[in-house]
Amino acid sequence: MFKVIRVEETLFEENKKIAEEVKEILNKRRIISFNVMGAPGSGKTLFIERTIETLRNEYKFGVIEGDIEGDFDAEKFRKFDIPVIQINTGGACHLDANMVKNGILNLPVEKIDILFIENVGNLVCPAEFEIGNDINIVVSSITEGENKVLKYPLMFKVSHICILNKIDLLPYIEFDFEKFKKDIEKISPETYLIKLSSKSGENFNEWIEYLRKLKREKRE
Amino acid sequence: MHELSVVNNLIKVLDRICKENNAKKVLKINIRVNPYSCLDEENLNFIFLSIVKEKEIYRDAKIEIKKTLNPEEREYVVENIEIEV
Repeated sequence: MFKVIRVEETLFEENKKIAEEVKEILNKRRIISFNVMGAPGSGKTLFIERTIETLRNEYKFGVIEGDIEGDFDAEKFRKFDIPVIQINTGGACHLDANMVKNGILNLPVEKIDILFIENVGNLVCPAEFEIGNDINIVVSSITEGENKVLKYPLMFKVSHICILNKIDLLPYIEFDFEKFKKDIEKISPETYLIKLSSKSGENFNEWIEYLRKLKREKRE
Repeated sequence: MHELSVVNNLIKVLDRICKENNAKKVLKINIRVNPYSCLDEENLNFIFLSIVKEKEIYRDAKIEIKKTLNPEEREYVVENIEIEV
């Protein structure tokens, strides 16, 4: 006999449950947490470094670094004398909630106000997995071209903030900012777009002010 | 790329549902995803078959992915499965 069985179950049930646990741990401590995503080389690490450099006397930071291999990026944060956890996904193309939870359990959460979780460089898979953080950031650099929004719509759709990075290279690179902006408004009108350069610091203050505002809102 | 984790979770769900319903064979698995999701149907079927090839009950199953119109739905949802009992 042939039968259709109604299931209606999510395939990420387990991941979702663990993401909720992560969220609870972070919320209890009023830690504001960012999942920083973007293509390899878009400048995620330098973006986080400059943020910490700018605000290190104001807030206490923690970083979870996700990479397939190596701890080059984690190494960069050690100079700030802040808690850093390197997660090597061992081939997996994204961080999942369980990896992040294990990372958090090894962090002194009582000493952290702001947590950055740097995801594996990839515009596809990280967008599909909740990891229990508050705010998703996609870092996209002008060197990647203006078509990224339409090519990887889910990534921009799930991101609350889009950092358009490397604007100091504008004199050397053709980049249609109006198109990029229009595409974001179309795909994800709620995404807050900030263009800046993490290297030269151009317009970096807009992000810093926005971060302060988010932190205040989290406290209330 | 993330299809492997999806397949592993799918098998867990299927094992349970099949046991509950005394299924002899699974013929079709209907999955619903976000319209922007990058889950690839062909790739998913390939990985699924590679993993379950030893299991008689799943060997002829075909996974079909349907994209919803709701971009807010970030989950991959198994809507229903068609089985032989």
